[in-house]
Amino acid sequence: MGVGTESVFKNKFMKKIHTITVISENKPGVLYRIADLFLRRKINVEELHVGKTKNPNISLFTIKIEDHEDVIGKVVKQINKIIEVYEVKYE
Amino acid sequence: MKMSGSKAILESFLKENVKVIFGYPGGAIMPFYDALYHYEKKIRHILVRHEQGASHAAEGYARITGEPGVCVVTSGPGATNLVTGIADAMMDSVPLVCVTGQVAKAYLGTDAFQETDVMGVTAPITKWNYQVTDAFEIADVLAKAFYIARSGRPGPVVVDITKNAQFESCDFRYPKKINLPGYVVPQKGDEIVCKEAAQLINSARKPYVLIGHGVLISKAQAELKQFLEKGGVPAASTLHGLSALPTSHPNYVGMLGMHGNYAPNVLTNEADVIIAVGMRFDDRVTGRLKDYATKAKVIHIDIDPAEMNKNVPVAIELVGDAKLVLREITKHLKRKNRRSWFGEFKSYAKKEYEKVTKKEFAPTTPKVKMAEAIDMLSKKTKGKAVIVADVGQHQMIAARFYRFADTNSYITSGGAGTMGFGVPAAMGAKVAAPKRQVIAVVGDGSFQMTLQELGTIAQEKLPVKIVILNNNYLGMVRQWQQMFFEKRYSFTYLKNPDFIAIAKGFGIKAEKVEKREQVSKALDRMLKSDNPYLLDIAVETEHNVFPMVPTGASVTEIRLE
Repeated sequence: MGVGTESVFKNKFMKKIHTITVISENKPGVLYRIADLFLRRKINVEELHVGKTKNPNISLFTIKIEDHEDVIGKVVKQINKIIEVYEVKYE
Repeated sequence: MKMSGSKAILESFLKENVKVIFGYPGGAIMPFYDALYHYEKKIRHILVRHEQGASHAAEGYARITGEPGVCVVTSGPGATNLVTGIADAMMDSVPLVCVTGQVAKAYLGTDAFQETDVMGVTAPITKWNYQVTDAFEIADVLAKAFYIARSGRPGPVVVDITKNAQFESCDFRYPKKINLPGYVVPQKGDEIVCKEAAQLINSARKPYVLIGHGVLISKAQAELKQFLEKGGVPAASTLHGLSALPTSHPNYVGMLGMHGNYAPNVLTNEADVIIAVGMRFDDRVTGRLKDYATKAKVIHIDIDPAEMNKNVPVAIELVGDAKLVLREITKHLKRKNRRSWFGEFKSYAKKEYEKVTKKEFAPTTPKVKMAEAIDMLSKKTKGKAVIVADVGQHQMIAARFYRFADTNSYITSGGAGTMGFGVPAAMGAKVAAPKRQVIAVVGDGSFQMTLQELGTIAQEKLPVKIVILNNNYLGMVRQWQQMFFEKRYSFTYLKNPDFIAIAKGFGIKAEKVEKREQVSKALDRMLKSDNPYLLDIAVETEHNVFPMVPTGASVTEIRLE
């Protein structure tokens, strides 16, 4: 059960565009923290949209990035740690 | 109740039961300091000599009490000087609440005098940060700050408060309930999964527990002990897990990691089930990931879901408070002793003793070795002191050779490896534990990064004991240069000042110890003293710390020489 073999496999074959959606409190600084998590891992953002939802206190982020699924999964978990974030999903 | 924003900060501190602030005044925080003048009897303020000292002192305080350490500093350089300590606290999950002054709201973004984008600078190294620009926000934001810092996986929080908000008046009402819908703190792990974990451990031949800092944070020492004793499971500790279990406990097999013990590293790859409790599989623990825990199914107990499968694939995830999760698993454990598995640890330990430890205590060198000094310290204090180690060879030697009898007894900078941590953190630890013997074990290099805090120690009359293990080198870097860079000692030699004269300049008693036979008596004098005391012990200059798992090597490739 060697650690790593699995992720090496994924890294090699599964780099593709993923869409991350984030629902958060509508407060300054959330975008900054999300952007920083990409910066830390040197991930380039392909597309980004942020806006208020019907509830003006809640924002919706739609972010497209190209990377391996295991990396995206880890970043998504870290986005979920941002205090103001209610929900984050990726596909 | 109507009051100024500054007073609201102090009233919020009182609501949070803050007893001590480590701080440094300056322009943008002056309204707060003016209000503090009238609170002297209710809150102790300790004036550090550099804001980095405040952040490390607050860390030392937090590590002992489990409550957030509090720093208050001014804007610009005051805030940026805190940054190293904040980053350190983030890496080591230490709760801090740092209040930074900021230029008035109207000046934000204008490059005003001492304006720094503190929100931008600290966002990546805080669990949460918030800028307050209106006095009415203060109570609510500070209530959130303290809650976030101390709950779940603890961490540092920065609250940047503009000068106008400190001056303005507000209606102070401290919130009873905190509204943070996006922040969920896991409590007990899933009961069914706990049972599965217990079954996996029951059927294992070679289960192995890795004790992390999380055990201490969740105060799960008793639950860990019951778990280990009932299940008959050997346990090793990470650097930050040290003293969660007494060194003498029969199930304790030593320290993990780059400079950990031989058996705990090698046998990681023999274990069939690994139970990681409150630890995060740092690279200094795992070595080469590809060859880590090669035969084991991993049960990972941690309060932070983002740690699951981050570095090591996990068979059973248990996100929750270590105390509650361990208690639940223990219910379902079968009583076992696993003598032959413990025997494997013993035989590797014997080999380590023969090849490494024995040599540390063979007095063939004119100067004392670090291990001898730590061993004496351990015996003389009966393992009951709080050891606050700085970063370098002395840190690893202190971790390996101090035999911890009491819990919460080893405080150091782990994740960040911040040189200069030792003296200020010891200061904070002493404030938190005035009745315990608090000993900073530092190197001659690291001591010089924050030695100005001797001024704070003297002014506050904090009887912190400081032991410099002085080898006239940046010892750990020199060791790497010797081992991996063909002995090219590139800028690691230090021409040191007279540390005794420096200590005396601060009004602190100090002694230089140059010979082996002087060490014991000098330590006695230091330990007996009711005042701060510094010992500058000249140790073997080109001594290397072993065992060692070189960077990029597997835990089984650990070197004994």
